[in-house]
Amino acid sequence: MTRHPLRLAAVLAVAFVAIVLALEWFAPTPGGPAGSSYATAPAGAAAYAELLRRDGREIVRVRRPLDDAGEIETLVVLEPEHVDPEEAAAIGARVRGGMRLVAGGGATGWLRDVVAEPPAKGSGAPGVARVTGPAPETEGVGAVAFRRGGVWAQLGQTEPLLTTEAGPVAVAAGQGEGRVVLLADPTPLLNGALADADNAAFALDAAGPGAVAFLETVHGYRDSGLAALPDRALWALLGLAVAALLYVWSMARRLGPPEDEERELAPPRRDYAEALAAALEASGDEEGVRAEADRRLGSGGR
Amino acid sequence: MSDPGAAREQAREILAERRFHDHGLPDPFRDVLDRVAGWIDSFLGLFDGLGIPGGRPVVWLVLALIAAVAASLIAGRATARRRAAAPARAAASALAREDPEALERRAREAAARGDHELALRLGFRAGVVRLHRRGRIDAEESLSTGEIARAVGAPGFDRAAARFDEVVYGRRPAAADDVEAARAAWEEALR
Repeated sequence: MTRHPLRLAAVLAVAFVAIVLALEWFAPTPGGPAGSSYATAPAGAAAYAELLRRDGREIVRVRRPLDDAGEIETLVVLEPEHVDPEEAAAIGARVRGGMRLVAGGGATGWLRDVVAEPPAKGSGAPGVARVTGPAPETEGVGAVAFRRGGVWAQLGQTEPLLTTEAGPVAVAAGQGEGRVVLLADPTPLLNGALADADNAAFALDAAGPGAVAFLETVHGYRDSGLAALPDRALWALLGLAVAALLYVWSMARRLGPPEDEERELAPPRRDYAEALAAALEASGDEEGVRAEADRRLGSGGR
Repeated sequence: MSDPGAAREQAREILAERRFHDHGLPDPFRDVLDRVAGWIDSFLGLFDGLGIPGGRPVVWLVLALIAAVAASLIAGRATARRRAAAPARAAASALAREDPEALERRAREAAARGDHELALRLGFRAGVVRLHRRGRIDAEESLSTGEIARAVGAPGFDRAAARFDEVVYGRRPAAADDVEAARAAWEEALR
């Protein structure tokens, strides 16, 4: 057994992290948040971004509030866990000003700020969708495979583009100068199904002809500094920082100099003897004290 | 309008890249981490049905507080134990490092130059080290002269200790007689 178990634990922890990082570096594992254009997992959209790039489009990742972002021709929002009301309002304003929006999966409440009468989601089995009517997003597209399921149960102001046996799965609507394409099931645009059926062609056409921006703030990404880290990583760092501060605090001396300059000694015994003598003298029983002292000294006591 | 066949081929080419595929190497760490993450998620899921105001952030906060209190209690006890054990360990290791012959030589040198108190102190320390080495006292804890006297049970030690206490603690000036008498008493105590 080692004499320093804490040191051993720290070395093992560092070795563990180093091995994990080395494995990720030399043999990366697909991962990333669902719907993110950085994510290489089946639920990610990195392949969609690369497909658009190879098609000659400029690709931008938006990692700052939309109010601070420049001009955007097409914005892709996939699998957002949550969209802030300010961001939803900014998206709505940009759409009305001429931007194209492609959205699918995740939260849908924010669509109320984008489409006057948004569609409402319902359940439905996955399946292969056929083109419902003529639209620029589905020209030349024969069949699009939807793997997860879900339909637009109410269309609101939108028109259906693609329909499976369960119902409409992709809809579109013009809003002001812009246009929105909304998918009840975003899987045709995600890595796991992009190469299925005519999904890739639909993905390219849904994005329109211009530059495409992926909204990454909804996946926890920010532009720079600590804000660039995902929220979970920030919480983990905060926890580690608190733990480190507590460790430093626990190791520090509470008050006084770092180390005692000399060992604290007991007071001389003479002080004790003199204090005892003063107490005996104060008793006033000189005879009694003398007799007791004689008795003890005579018996060899100390 | 895109060509479906060409777009599909392009997508397949992209998805064939190494970054989109598991490397096939065993990844025990990820399995462990995934399992731990699953346990944590299941545990937190237990609270979801309770309708706690604030939801999971409040659960995390409460768990963090519990962890902090537990860590504080454990750290407090560990620190107290360490503090209690430190003087004993220091005393034992100090005695083990001492060389009684060197101490006695220094005692003789001090007596020769007239520093009788130092000679008495060094001689007493040499005696205590010899008692420790012979296993007659246990230096795992700090001992007073009286405790050593009870452990040793030798009149010679009592006499040596009495002179030592008078000079060191009672501040009585030491004389050459004290050094000689203490040396004789120690010889008797160590027999």
